[in-house]
Amino acid sequence: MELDANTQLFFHWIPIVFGLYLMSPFGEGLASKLSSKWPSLKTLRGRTLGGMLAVTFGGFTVSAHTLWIHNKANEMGGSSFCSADGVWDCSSVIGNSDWNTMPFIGLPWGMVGMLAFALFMWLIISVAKEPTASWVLTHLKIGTNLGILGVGMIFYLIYAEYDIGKLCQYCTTAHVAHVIATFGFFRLASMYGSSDWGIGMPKDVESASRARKDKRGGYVAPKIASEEE
Amino acid sequence: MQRRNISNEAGGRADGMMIVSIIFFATLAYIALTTSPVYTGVGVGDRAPELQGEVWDGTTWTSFNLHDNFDENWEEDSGEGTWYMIEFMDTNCGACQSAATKTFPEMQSKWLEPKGQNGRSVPANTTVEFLAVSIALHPDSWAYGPEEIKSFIVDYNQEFPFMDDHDNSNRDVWEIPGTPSYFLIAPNGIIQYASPEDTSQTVWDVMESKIPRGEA
Repeated sequence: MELDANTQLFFHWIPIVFGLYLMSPFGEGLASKLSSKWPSLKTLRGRTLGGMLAVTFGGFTVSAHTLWIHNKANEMGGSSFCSADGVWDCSSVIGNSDWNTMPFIGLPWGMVGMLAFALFMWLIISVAKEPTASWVLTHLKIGTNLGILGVGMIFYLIYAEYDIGKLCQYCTTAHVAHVIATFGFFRLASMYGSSDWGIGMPKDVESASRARKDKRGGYVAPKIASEEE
Repeated sequence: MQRRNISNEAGGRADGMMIVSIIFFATLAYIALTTSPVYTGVGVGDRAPELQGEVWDGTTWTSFNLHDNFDENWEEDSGEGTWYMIEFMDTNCGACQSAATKTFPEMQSKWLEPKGQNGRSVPANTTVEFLAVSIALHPDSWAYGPEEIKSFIVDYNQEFPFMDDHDNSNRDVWEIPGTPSYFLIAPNGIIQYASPEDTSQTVWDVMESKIPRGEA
């Protein structure tokens, strides 16, 4: 049984919708269920990073699919691999030789998307693995700036779709994933340094450790200079 | 004593890079193995670039776009489709005038009138079209314009359409080094012969070998 292009697109939406749900306040319940396997999901930071990773993975797979369609369109004609139903007509957009590559560089847009989402995934994974590292803020800044740059490119591609007179459902899916990821980076950047960021461990583990420390009666730092004497 | 460097801050980044690289290159390998894209160009095996403009068909000027006539789903043994022989020429060029006098009369009757006495047989649903693209080699010193094209057609008894490319827009895209230059294009838009890169044979030889024969 061969799936049509719109049905195949559905598979790319699954991680994107899952990720968006995890990032949203509604995803708290789901995150607490998953936290037995991934404890960091108990924190807002962990949920945001987990959701962003799922969203960017969806963006990466849809970009790869777009590149595959682009190559197949060159090889055998676009209409064979991409549905063309009225205004949603990816074959007319991906197969359009005037608009289907990045200006100056000449890379197919699918490849540009793959590179961008791969970079996003690397930023997210590294921050998720070491949320207290000294380079975290730099990664978040790269993410937000790259996100803004990508939004500019999205506007260019929307203009291309307007010029062609058709909309590409695959491209739109990648655009949605990019916008969500950009929003995620901004959210993480605002979270960084606040209590929401935590110190790399879930709140209950953090409070348990504090309680343990209190019980042991550890060193208490003086609050004012006179106390030192 | 020198302290051992116990910083493990690079670990997260290296792990992330490894995971992402594996995903990226595995995906790229899959795409490379399952697709074989044909790129637009002017060499044999390339998809023909855009070729559009006003064409004089003997009675009127009409808009023509070569790509509109391609059938991307064409199959080689289908016995269908339209083959295009494209000639880039200049109405003032001596070699083009010579070809128009010596070669084209015979080739016109051979390929454009297949049912005639001298016609080469082709399958029932296969057609062959000639298209001349009139470019301007020396726009500042030689005479150009639609009337030049019309006169050339009449003077040399050319029985196929001529495209006005005196602004050289198509010439630049097709990277024409000189005139006459010939291309043979299959019904799916793939270039089968390009005289700028192959001087060992003529377009007529290639047409003879590539275009299928019909029943005698």
